[in-house]
Amino acid sequence: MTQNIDVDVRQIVHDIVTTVLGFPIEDATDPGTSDGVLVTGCVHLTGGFDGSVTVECAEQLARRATAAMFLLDDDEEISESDLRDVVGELANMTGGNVKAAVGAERLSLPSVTAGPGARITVPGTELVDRLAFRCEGESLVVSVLARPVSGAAANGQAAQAVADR
Amino acid sequence: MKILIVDDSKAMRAIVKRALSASPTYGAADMVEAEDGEQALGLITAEAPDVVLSDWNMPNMTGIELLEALAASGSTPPFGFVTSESTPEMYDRAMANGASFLVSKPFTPETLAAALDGAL
Repeated sequence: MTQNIDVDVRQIVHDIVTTVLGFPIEDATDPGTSDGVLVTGCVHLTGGFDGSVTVECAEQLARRATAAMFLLDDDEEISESDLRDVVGELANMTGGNVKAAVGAERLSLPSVTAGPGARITVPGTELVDRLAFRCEGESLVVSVLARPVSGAAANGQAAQAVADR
Repeated sequence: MKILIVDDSKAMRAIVKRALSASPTYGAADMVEAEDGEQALGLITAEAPDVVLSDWNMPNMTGIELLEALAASGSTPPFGFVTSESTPEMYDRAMANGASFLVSKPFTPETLAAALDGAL
């Protein structure tokens, strides 16, 4: 059984993008299947809720976010290291806020990958939510993945819930 | 005034610095940076900051490990967390070890300045 979450991930992403980047952001209905270059950050949550949160940025959005964070001019070079740092931090903030909302105990440090169609898959998890946004004319997709709760664990939880009544 | 900013993310350190620079109270402060708790521990000894702003989750030594080390040494400067993952349990643990505040990311410059006002 997949763990259900009752978290307004859209609001979390809106808050982060508008507050930290100062960019307007719109909800999109279709995540699409972009083969363009993506920069994807991922964090893992454990304890109480076992899952992952990924943030997929179109490369141009990641570059604009990096320029905004470091106050770079249009003609200034953006290092790969800074680009990955920024997307990692976006994943960290998104995942951290999800962690607080779902009651997970631990948050991993972020990992970041970049390349054409670079998405992160987390074996053993199922997709709980996949939300698409448009930001600065570019794609931003945030996914929440959860490790299914085993039947025994689910039965144990149900028994405890009955005993608690 | 000297402020030590501790975060493994260079981008987040830049955001904290920029937020503080916008404050009439803290804008002129000398800002020192550390990438993790271990580095921060050395800088606290060397630089004697007036306040420490630390992330929670970092490699090598986390923010809470840094605070616990300072508490064990008996010498804790005013200390606050700036973190994306605040929970009631983290808040309680931070306060129990002598932290003055815990600011959640994302934050506004006003929120950060107000937290510092309360600590100093």
